[in-house]
Amino acid sequence: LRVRVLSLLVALAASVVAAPAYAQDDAPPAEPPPEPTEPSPPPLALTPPELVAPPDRPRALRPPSTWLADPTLADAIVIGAGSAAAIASAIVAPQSKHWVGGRLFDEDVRDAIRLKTLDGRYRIRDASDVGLSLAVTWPFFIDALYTAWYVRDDPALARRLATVDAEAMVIIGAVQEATTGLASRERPYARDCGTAIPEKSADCDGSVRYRSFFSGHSALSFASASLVCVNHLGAELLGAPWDALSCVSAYAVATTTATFRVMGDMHYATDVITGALAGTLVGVGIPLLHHRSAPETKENALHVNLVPVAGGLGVGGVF
Amino acid sequence: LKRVLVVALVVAGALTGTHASAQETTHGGVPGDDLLAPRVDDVVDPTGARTWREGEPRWFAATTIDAGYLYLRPRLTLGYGKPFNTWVGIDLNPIVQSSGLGAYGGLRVAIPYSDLRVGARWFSAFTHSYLPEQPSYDRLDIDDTTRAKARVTTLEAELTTAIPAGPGDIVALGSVSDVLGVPTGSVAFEETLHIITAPPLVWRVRGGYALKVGDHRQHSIGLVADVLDVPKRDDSLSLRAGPVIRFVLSRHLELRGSFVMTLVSPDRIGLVGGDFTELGIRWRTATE
Repeated sequence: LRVRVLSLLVALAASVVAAPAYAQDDAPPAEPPPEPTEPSPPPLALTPPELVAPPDRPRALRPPSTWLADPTLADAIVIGAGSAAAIASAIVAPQSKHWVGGRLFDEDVRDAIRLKTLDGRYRIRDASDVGLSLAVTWPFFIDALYTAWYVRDDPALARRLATVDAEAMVIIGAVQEATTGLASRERPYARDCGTAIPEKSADCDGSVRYRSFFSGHSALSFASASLVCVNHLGAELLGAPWDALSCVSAYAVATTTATFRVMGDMHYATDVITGALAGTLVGVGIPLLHHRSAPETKENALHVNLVPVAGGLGVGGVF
Repeated sequence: LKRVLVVALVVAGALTGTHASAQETTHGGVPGDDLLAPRVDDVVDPTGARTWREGEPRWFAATTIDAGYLYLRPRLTLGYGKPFNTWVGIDLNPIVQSSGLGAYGGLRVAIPYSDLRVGARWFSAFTHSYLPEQPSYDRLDIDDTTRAKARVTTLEAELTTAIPAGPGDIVALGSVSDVLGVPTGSVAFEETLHIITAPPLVWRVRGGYALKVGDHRQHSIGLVADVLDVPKRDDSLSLRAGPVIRFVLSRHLELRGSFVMTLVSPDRIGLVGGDFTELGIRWRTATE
């Protein structure tokens, strides 16, 4: 429960922390106003010249990207409200009426890929946590902070990417948390509570036990993968073929993470499939909603003309 | 032997040069993620701003925020000297992470090549409880909720150092921790050291090598190994090893990662038994 709450806080904090850093680092050093009559002395060199402009960095070789619209107050409101909704949903206990057991192909998949030993299932759960951690942090730290801001020297793009990433993450987090509480589905391992797993353990506690539908690991990982894909391809962050490779790798990590959740008996197949679909929808949809259209040109603009026709006026145009 | 030692010290001094400066320590957070900061103040802001190494010694207030999945560690520092470089003062920080809440406060002295901190850390766990004494523990043991939630105070002294050698630095850390507040007959999981401790003492030694890369050798990619022991537990020696990375994006902002996994341990507690921070960022600033 607290993991979920904190994950949203951390995602939000990361975007908030990164934003002022751009502002500070990008601010030109203050210089004294020049004397009106005499030429001013050269400013004090606080840093050796060879350290000021790294020679081999590809920064400034590309023009600033126009991918995504600039953050607005609406984005801040959505992020704040989404975070609040997610936290509230995570705090509220799942419904008392539980949904138990598999649906459709759930039991078949569980029987086929669930690891046989409890130790093995714990290990694969750890591995899924590693995958989730990597997936959630990548769009913020690697794409926005490192690639866009540091390497490409495009702080505006970094800010836009971080904002969209945060927005997508809190939205999918809020939807996922609310759904798990309402669905109140028992996790598949819970049938071992009281036998292989002690009843009085963290896993068998109600706040953890009845949050199977749908998978947060799957939803967040696929949302992240979708953000990586859409942003890489939209902003051409690394250029071909690295953008496509980043996209494929991100989905590979997400797919592996989701699969590990079933192998670790944390979720049914329908939980992770639903999570993957929801995450992908949000991860693709949010950046596209922030897509900044190319400026209109005479060639592609809408032309509407009033023209005389027999019996009156007609409307003609080029669309 | 005396001459050899003198020569060795002179050579070491010459190798370290004049630019090495104090590295940062863990301040009660996840241990070890600061070991790759031997020349933190040689790093220049990529936009051409100043480094922390410059300026005059002064009274200052500084803030450092570490954030990642899944932790948030803001830290307030008050001291005299050059912040993040050579100074003496106090560190205060809350600890907010998925496993619980806590706080750390302590004294710190940072000089070139070395960094010493002495302080106290209090931590209240969300899920981990006090544990009964037994030879080893597994995941079911530390997830058990029948006992009271663990609340532990740890008094700790930690010395870190880094010596330039070849294309990188030899890094080292040693710490001694005194764990308090654990009921008699029980043990507790120490959430910062990531080890099940039978009070009072835990000692830890880390060694490794960090390769410096980048235009100004500001980034670090290293391999470290930890050895930990709890004297009151039989056969409790633990060994961890793994890579740690640090990319300095500006004097304010760093990208960090720690992937130190448990290789040898009497316990089988999974990922929580390692120093596995994954990716995180550090943002810091100080009064001029």
